[in-house]
Amino acid sequence: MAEFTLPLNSIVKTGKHFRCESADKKNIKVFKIYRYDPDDEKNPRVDTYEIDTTDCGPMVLDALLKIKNEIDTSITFRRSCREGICGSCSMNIDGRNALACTKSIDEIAGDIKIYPLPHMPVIKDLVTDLTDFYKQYESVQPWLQAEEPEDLSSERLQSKEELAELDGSDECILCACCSTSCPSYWWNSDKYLGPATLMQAYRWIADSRDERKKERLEKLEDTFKLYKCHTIMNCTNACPKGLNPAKQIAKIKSLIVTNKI
Amino acid sequence: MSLLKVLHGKKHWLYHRFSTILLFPLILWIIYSLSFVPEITHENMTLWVSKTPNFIFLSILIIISARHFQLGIQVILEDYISTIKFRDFYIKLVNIIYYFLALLGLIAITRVYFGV
Repeated sequence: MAEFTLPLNSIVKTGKHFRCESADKKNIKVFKIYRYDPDDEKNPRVDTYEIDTTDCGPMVLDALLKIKNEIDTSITFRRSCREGICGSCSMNIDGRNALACTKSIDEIAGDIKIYPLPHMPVIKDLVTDLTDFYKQYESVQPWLQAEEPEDLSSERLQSKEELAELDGSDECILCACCSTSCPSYWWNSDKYLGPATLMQAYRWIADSRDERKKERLEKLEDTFKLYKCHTIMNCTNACPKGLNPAKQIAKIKSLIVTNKI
Repeated sequence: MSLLKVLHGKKHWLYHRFSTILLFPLILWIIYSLSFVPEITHENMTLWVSKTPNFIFLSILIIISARHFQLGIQVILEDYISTIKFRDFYIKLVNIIYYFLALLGLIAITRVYFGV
């Protein structure tokens, strides 16, 4: 049955407050960051950090790096490219899933609350366990499946129109912002593939070079894998790349019904 | 036992959408038609149901709405009950309840229509 109570060790407590005495008060921005260390067996807590914005880059990731470098080296988060390409620094910022590297500090009024991606197992602080997410991604076989052409001297060509079919799905960076913002994925993340994986599934279904479209669609025709999408649209709202996973999921449903492939 | 059949995947999705599309004109019809009833009294409603077009459309409305609600509740149960045996049990139970309610409704308006 559904669980309506949470274990006591999941209650988030108030943590340490790191003050910034040197800066002018009007230049101070307050960051409230979720902290959890599985090794100390304590409850998660929210630590407060005051940052002098005149001495910090413009993005939330810049502030996190400043905190880690200058205030509290124990804070843990993923980051890599710092320009919205790798998807590593996805986290819940000010109540919305976003990439810390593309989220501007100035966009957020008041204190900035930073939590890990919702409803995912937390490894430490802002780092979530994405093992199942990647397994789901693997399950849709996200690679080209086609017979080897007789003539190996030429490439598998696509027209501009065929390539345009992939627009809106192949730009996905698998940051998991969409899947972890989906209530349906929260309740059934073990069975529902989620928007990110489904969008990747569509990316290969729509690829003119792929020859396993029918098999791909047959695999998705399942109450939980696909039809747990209730068109809530949180995924579209959350995508930091401005993509529309809900639309691609609707296209999959449409293709299954019309059986055009 | 066919009444207990639980729809899944594509069929469930299609039936749910078709029932929504069919319910739309039927709901508009019932609102429009009832607006001509001067007052909602037992006598007026008996007279309204005993007209053949009203009886036919009301029967269709009862059947489709029962199926539509059953399909909707099934989604909610699938979402929130993770234990498979409980989930399947409640889905079948809801199926029975909605078919029973639809049957009761149909019997009631048929009795009114034939003046039993």
